[in-house]
Amino acid sequence: MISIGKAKIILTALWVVGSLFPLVILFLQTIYGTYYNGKESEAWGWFTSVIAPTLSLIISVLVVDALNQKPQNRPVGTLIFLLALLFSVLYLAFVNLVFLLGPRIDSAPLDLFKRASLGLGLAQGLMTATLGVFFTKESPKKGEKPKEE
Amino acid sequence: MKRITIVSILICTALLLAGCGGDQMGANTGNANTTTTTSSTTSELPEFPWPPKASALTTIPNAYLIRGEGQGTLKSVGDRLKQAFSSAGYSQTGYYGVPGGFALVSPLEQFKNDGTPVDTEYRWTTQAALPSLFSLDYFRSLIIGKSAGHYRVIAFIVTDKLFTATGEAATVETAERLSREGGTALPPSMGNQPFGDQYTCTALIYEFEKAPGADTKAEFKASSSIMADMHLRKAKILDFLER
Repeated sequence: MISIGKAKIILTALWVVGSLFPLVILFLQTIYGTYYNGKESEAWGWFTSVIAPTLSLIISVLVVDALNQKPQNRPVGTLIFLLALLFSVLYLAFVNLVFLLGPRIDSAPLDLFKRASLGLGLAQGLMTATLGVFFTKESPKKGEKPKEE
Repeated sequence: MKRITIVSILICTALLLAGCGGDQMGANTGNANTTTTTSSTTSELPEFPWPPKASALTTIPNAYLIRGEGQGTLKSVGDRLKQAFSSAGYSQTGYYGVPGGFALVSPLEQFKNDGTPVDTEYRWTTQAALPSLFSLDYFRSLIIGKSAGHYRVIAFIVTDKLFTATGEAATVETAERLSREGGTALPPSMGNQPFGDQYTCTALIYEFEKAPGADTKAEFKASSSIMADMHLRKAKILDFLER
């Protein structure tokens, strides 16, 4: 069993690292200004909608934890953590693939984003639900011993 | 009497006018015959779109077209050009008739910005070449965007007539058809003609560009981004002819 503190760090690290590649690519594409033919704001809009809600949730929980100095050594349910981890990995892999495979797909980048959104919507729902439960679950289960960090 | 005279005058006038018209038609027929005579040597070949309009052109020295001593014939010149095409991977070419000679046309091929043909997978198709996964071109495409597809048809015109490339712009559909619908060989009546100094061989490059995206169409480029001899060099045609 893993403590809530460590679990949060793992998920936060996963999300930061997983968002970094598309963020850098999108930043460079915007600087060069030729990839989206002047529609960079739409690309940023799409990226923000797929990454920002979850990343904001994670960061805001971390900030609240830090401000309230909540104990982070209580154990976390393995199932909910693994589900949150699995859905996050799959979701971030999908978002990264959408960016990475752009040059191999013979359509406009924004069309690709629109098509990808069809599948991402479902994945985002599942992932947000598990992460939401994980990050907002407050009270430790009865009988569980706090774990030393 | 007066009525008969007037009718006679009208008939004579009508006959005279008809005569003039006849002469004029004759003149036209004469012109048509002249045209037919001019292209009589090419009547067994389909006609090449004339006058041409190319994106780039260059003259091939006659010395490149005749091997060994002697004057050579149009057939030997055609064979040499065909070998040059064949050595560079253009196995399907077509002969056409042009005023005073013939044209040998390559199929439509896709090439890179520098004139080098793209990989075989995409060379003979109008589908834009996609960069190999994780190659340098791939990351370039990822940041800067997919580059436009470049296509060309190379036509060698061998003729003893002067011409200017001031015709109508070709469409990519026409260009695609040319190599398929051309003659497979020169007719003997033309092939046996001696290839003298009065003949020139001009390489015409018809270039087309297709913007990225599945729903775009390749458009004729009035001016090529590289010179015609660079097209021939990168396509490895000039290397063969210089040997």
